[in-house]
Amino acid sequence: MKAVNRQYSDSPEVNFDSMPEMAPYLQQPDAMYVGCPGKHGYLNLGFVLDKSGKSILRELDRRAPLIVQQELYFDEELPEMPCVYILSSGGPNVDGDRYAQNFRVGAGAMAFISTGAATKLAEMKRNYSGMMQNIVLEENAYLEYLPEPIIPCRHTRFICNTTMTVHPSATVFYSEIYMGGRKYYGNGELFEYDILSVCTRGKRPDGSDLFREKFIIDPHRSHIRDIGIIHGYDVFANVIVMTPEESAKQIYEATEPFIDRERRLAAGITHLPGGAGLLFKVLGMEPGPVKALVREFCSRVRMAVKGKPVPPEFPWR
Amino acid sequence: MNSLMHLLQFTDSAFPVGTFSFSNGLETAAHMGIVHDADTLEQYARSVSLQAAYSDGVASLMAHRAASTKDYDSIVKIDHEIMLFKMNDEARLMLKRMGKKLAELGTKLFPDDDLFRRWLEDIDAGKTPGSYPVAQGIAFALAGLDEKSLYASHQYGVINMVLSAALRCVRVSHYDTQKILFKLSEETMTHFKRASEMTFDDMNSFVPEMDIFASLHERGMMRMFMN
Repeated sequence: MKAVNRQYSDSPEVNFDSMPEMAPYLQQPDAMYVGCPGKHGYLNLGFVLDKSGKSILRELDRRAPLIVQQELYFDEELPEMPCVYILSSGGPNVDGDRYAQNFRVGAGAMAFISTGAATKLAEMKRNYSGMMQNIVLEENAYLEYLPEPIIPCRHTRFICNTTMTVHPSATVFYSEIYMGGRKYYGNGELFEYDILSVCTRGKRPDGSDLFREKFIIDPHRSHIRDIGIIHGYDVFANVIVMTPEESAKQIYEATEPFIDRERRLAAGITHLPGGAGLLFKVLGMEPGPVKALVREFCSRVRMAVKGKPVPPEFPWR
Repeated sequence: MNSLMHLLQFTDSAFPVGTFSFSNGLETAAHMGIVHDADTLEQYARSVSLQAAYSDGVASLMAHRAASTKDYDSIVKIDHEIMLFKMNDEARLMLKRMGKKLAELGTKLFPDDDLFRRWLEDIDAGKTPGSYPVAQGIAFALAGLDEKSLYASHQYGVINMVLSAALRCVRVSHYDTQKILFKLSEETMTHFKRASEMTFDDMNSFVPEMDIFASLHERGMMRMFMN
């Protein structure tokens, strides 16, 4: 990578300044500086089995603006699974935000993580918003990460790097839903953001690499509305499932890829490299049907691994 | 003169690496009526070219650099890295089939050089995947062709593969496909400038609709092409 001449002096641990795609966005924000208190949050969550064999949230360490309150056990199909919602007290992600999220699920434990509402990525003028995630699953661990959609605004710049280190016997369901923008704001705002750069890596605990997916969406530079890319759709979901081969086979067979031109909804499924699991993609027009498909897919994963479905979504979500 | 002739030979669609067997998802897109004329085909071919430009194209350039300095360990590393990035079975199959064919051919074209022979042995032993972009990088380095020629040939091959498939499954004429090829060729140099500065960390691709076409093809009934 090329060295970049930094234009601000604070140096948070979460730093993507050397990534070439972020090079045009390295000025100090006019408002609060990069890495100042309130713009430099982290969240460490550690789920383990307690002595009685119940999954609990043992480790909870956080710095504003990221918040998780205590774990709840509200899943009717898996009442033994701790569920948490991540909130951000700062509201939308803004210029110069740097966040880190670290989730660990210990041997045999399980957890569900979501967000309280859609993640809004605000308009940015000088800098970018970055997020680093480390997800670790030990032997036979199970994690569902099913957050609400991410909504980028005009001139949003967002970069997110995620590393998932997963034991061959464990299962992680990791989903992301990206809206094209604030579709119904003003005269409509779709694909007017500057850049989304998303990289997800899969590894084994011994350090061996399984896969690496990276997409950069820069609507001002590429032909994003062409056939093959986003085409006529407005919402895109990407779901990575790392799971043992036997459950992967079962989930793959139970999932039918389709293109429904009437409902303008499409989904595809494929095998990740390295026998790591599955990759599921959805394209649609509105978040509702895309969220429903992702949740249905999560239910298939849970059925294959835990023998239980995902209960219907709460009516207020 | 020699190098220009080698460039033409490696880029020729008759170069026996099996490009005619693959459609890169076009077969599904055509079957669904989504690609049905010259305009929709141009969009699709551009997406395929864009996908290769910052992934396989980058790997071929890196392999060229490694082969030019006879850095065999780096060749194997690049070969593994590009496969980690391939998100579906048919894409992995295509890369490995074409890579191995070029490796076999490479041992005949460059009998005095050990590189292709050693790589082919490791492919057969399952020590390295044997991907096509890496094979191209090695072949161009051994033939004394530069990075720009390699990248042009790589992108030309990708675009031409889709357009040749289109003549068999989309209602377009040779005039249409040649016009598209001419136009997309002119966009290639912009990609080269960016791709030549990239490393593994920068390789990227965003073609979700193509990924869905590929997934349907993997399950589908229409099987004129292998992908």
